[in-house]
Amino acid sequence: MEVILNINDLKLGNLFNNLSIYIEKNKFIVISGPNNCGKTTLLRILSREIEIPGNIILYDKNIYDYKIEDYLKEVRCVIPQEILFNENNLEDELNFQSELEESDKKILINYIVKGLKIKRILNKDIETLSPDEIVLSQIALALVNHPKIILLDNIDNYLNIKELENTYNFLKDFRDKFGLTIIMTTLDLNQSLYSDYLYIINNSKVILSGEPITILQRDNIINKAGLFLPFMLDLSVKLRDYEIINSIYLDKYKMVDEIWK
Amino acid sequence: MIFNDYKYKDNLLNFTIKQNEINGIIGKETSGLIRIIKLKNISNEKIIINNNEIDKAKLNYLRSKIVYVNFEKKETIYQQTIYDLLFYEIISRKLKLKNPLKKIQESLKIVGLSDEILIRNYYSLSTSEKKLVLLAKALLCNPELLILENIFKFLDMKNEKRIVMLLNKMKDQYQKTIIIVSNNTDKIYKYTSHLIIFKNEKILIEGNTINIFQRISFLTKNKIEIPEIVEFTYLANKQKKANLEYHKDIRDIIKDIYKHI
Repeated sequence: MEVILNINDLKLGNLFNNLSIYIEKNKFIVISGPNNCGKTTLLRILSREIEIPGNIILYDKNIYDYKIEDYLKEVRCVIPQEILFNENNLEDELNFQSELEESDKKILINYIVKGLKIKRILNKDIETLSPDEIVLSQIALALVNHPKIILLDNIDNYLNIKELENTYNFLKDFRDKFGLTIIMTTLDLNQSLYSDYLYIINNSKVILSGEPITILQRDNIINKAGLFLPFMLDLSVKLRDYEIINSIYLDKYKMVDEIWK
Repeated sequence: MIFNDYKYKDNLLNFTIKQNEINGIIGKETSGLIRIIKLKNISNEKIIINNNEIDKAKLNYLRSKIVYVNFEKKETIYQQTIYDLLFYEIISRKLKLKNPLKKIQESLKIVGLSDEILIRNYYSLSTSEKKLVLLAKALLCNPELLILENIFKFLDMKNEKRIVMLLNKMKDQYQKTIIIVSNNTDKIYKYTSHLIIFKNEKILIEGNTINIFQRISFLTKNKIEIPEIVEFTYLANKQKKANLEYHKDIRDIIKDIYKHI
């Protein structure tokens, strides 16, 4: 296991008290927690938008020991709707922001555009993009220089299920091809089912961490933290408590078969 | 409120908003329908509501009793404090109030906020506090109808429950009619009693929320997402003849399963 980012004993007012999170290289990590638990603030810290004294290590160096331009080559952050475009359309913006050689640039942009299914918006006037199109544009722009880490803040609030599934599949493909660690914050624990590892933070610290399917069975702790469990998990855990089923089922067909076998 | 033969593009819209109930609207590009409900930009020569023609004076009165809040839209608030924000609403709506401060305090009290919030800046508030302040602002004109778009977006379980309790209080205690506009069918199914689905500039279907969501084939054909709890019930009944009732709460479906196996 190779750790790419290590957050040690982070402290920030009432928000974080000795918060520690380690991020394994090339994994898809979801960080969840109730409103105002500091999810977005954490991403702003990791993107160095907010600077606080602390021990956050990228590879083997404190994140503040990197020149900001070098740091931004490694870590890119997508906070929905927070973007200022330099150009009038996405195609020009992708070309403007890419620092690759012309031929590599073209190949990568084509791959991103195809993967995120955003060809239809490439030449649209930036002013006319819908909220979901802006978020997809932000993700494309974040990837255009091969970062090693992408930070995604609550993108599920802007993308529909199809767009989300496609985005996750594409990010995983990008990861397999070039190497990419994905760190995503969300209120919706359904999203964590697509990830490799889940952290739940509440009351300024990590309250649960591990493989999502295992963590999500801790229904009492999760509900107490003010989070909804994914429907099928909630139903599985409750039916298991009543000894109607023995396992956790995410598939409705399999669960129905098991209950009425 | 019964709306008869409202011209919208090439169609005539007929629909009902149930008084003192929580109504739901699902659909794409619902802004045209919302403008009709707000009694704005109506192309009809005669405005007929509840089978009565509405004259200009009555129309202006009715318009003043309808408020619309889009909770997803990023508000640009120029006022320094919440007091300034709410006071500006009284001025801009030309509300004739003997004691504006008292009215502001009453509105805050209804939504469960204390006067202490009045000196705070809008941007310093949490997600749920912002929503409650916008609701308090909406209540200043004593509306009879509140149209609330995406009110549940960005909320954790505790804050969602708080908002639901507040909506029920506004409906039951203050006799308000509420419309929730959202494409989150899980929330619409759970919290509304009357539903309108708007598609391709027409009313696709309207009626009792539970009844509409039982029309799975029709909804699937029209690409309307089925709430998870409904989908599970439908599957159990169809595949295993489980004879489950359509419930809104997961605990009720568990009791029903327990009864039927």
